[in-house]
Amino acid sequence: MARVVVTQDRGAPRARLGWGRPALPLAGALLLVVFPFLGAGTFTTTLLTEALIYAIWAMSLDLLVGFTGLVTFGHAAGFGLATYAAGWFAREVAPELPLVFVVSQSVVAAVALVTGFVATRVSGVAFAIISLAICQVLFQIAVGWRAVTEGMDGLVGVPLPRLFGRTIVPGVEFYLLTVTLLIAVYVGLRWLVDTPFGRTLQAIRTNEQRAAAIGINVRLHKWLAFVISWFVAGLAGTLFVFMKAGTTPMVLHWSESGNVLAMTIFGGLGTLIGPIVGAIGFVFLRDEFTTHFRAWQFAFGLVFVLVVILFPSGLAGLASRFWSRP
Amino acid sequence: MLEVRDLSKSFGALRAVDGVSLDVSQAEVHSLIGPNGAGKTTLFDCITGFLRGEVGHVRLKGREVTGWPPHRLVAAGLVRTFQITRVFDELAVLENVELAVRSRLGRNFDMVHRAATLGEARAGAEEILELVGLADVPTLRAAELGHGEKRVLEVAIGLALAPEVLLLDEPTAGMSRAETERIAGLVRRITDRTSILLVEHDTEIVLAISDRITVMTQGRVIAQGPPDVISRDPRVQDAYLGAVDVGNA
Amino acid sequence: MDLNFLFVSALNGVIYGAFLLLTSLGLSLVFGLGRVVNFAHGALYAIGGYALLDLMRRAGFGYWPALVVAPLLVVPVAIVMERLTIFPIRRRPEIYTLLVTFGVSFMIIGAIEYLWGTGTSLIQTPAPFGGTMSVLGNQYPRYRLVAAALSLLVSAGVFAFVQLTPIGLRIRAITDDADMAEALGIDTKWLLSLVFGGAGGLAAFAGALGAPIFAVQPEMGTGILLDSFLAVILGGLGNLPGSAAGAFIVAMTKSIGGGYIADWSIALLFVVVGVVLVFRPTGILGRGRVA
Repeated sequence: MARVVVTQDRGAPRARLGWGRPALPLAGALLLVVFPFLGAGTFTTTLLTEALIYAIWAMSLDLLVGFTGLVTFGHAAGFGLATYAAGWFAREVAPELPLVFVVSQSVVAAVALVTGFVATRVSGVAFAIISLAICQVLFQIAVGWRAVTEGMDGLVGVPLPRLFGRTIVPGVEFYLLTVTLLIAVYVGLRWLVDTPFGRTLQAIRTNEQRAAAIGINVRLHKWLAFVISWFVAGLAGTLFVFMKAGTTPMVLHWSESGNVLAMTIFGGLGTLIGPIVGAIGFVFLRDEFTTHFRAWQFAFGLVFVLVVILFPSGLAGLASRFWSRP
Repeated sequence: MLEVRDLSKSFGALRAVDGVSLDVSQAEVHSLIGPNGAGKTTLFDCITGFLRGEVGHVRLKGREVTGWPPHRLVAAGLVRTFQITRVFDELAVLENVELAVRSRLGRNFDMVHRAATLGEARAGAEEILELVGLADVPTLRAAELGHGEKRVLEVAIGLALAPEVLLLDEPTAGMSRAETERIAGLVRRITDRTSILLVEHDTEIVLAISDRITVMTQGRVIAQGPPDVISRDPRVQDAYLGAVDVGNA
Repeated sequence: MDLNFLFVSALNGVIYGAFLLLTSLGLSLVFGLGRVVNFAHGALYAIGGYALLDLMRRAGFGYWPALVVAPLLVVPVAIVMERLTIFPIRRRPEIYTLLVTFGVSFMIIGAIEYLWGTGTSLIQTPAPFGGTMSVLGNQYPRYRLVAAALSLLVSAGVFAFVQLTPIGLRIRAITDDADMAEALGIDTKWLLSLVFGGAGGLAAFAGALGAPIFAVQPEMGTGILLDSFLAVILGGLGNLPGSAAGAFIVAMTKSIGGGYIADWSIALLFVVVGVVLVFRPTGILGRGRVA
């Protein structure tokens, strides 16, 4: 990670970490790619696929929360919207993957542009609530617009995706598709946060007023971060609807927004790797837990509360970098 | 360079700034003094877009800039520093300044290049650090600087934006004698590249380095002029200077 | 334009507004006093409804006694919640309390679903006020009018408390300037717990009061929570009269708009809030804090 960590020894020149240690992410990527060939069963592979889709979603949240400092309670919006756009298009027109992506991403980007314009006019708590409201609106539409979304029953019968004439079947093939996208998104975001644009976002996170005072157009940057974040979440959503062969309004429920928030926070904000780890941990833990206990939501809430109260440094970025007091 | 005319700002019933007018000419050091609560920082906030004055005008090099948001003002050459130090603590000293330089270079939307390798930004930042005397600690985390050095870094960040007019809000607050004199010297040195409006409490420094002084109290300007005139003005002595012996200024 | 339909929709708006007033005032008070944003407020509303349910079904209470007791049961719950989860992090930036209460709401709703299941329970309209009565020529459920009147009464009581009592004065002082208040020796610690408990009680009361109208199910608090937040943001955070205005604006928009465009009412609401925020980020009355 290209962050400058400096020694206590004043004046001693310190070598800059260039791209950080690429060894760790590289090893991780390699492991993910060969995973299904290591003897894991279909069930585990499928579960991991779901986890990796969530990981893409969580990374998009990290961009918004961990790097720009905009905590949102409505991040299920972009993800859920994409499931509907992609699912509908795949079923009614064609499941050609590139085409589906173009359609669903356009829809997500268009909605993000409009809603983001309003949402980024406010900060902090109001932003969190407004983003929740946006998600609720989408939820209501998903439930109410029966003609298109088929209401509470949701869309079913979404066909398998096709890529360059070849149908991608569930299991290893779909898993590899997911891993590829995950790696692409990780590399892309890792690059982005090291560009001047990315640094500007982080400056905004650290101290909005100060950022404005050095000539940064804060509102425009927040808007852009919002749209990019939804866009990436949309990528994950598109994969998700193919994996589940359908979608329901529950994908836009506020508890889903809470889930992705938890994954990202527990994993470690502002790290991009953290959300991946958090997502994998979340999916496997939830699977393990719900097969044995009924009170998952309660336990989840309890752990959430405990982490927020007791492990502020575990919420790495929040503690030291957010909302620097003037 | 900078013209402020009849600027007023109220908070409910309180008139924090009441019909203030002042000018800053090219290469001038213009100081703004007055007791606490006189409205100096509020005036700064209004001029630099952090607050909206209800009445009045601000002009930069003849251009009407009243009510512009901070980032537009910075682009036009009007820059400020803050009374309470707001450097980016987690970043290194050099990075703090680089951030400002990149902003000046219009790089804020650059999603293509890697920030760390932007040579132009690095060179510009190094030059500024050299100028302010922080060139020996570029990689030190800003949080680890001493208070005085942090204030200097604030000024450096401001300078990195290549301002036409630089507004310094109490740059010497909380500093030792030596550090204060260092800043004072810096302020005089940079008049070749920018004009300066500064808020200060240290009357000795103010009288020593200013070309002109504006005195404010309770939101209003009560006196304006060169140091020798101000120091002899009985109203100013009443309101502010008190029993300070300024015969040697 | 069917005037009767419009009238009934408007009346629905007033009724809902009265409920929203109770929850919004609680939210606004807690925020103004302690800079705490309570996401679990809706969950407390829900507990009120379930407490009423249990009191009536398991303990054999009549509706009216249950209506009084239920909020009283919830007040200590709210106080405990504040002491355990909010007090420890009171020095941190505001977003932390939002996160923590978000987690608490998961806990509460999870507990409700575990203990009572996910189904919906209906409560019969309490005896003396069943049936409908004629309002300007339209038949309207009597109980709704009674419930709204009660809400308004209690809300007026809250306003009076804040404006007229010594404690209320302390609350207003701290809301205006917390540091100054502390410097003047006003003890803020337990005050927040008490107000928090009171706000929780208000929410629970609203939940119990509304149970015969809106039914009891685990997610019953979510809608009103969001609406309350929007009301408080519209009115300016920490601004009581503003929150009251905001509550009615939200309620009317939802009811009248919803009457005509049904499921899209919340979209309309969002547009309204969006428009207000675009032009007045400090809230309609322009006196709140920019969140």
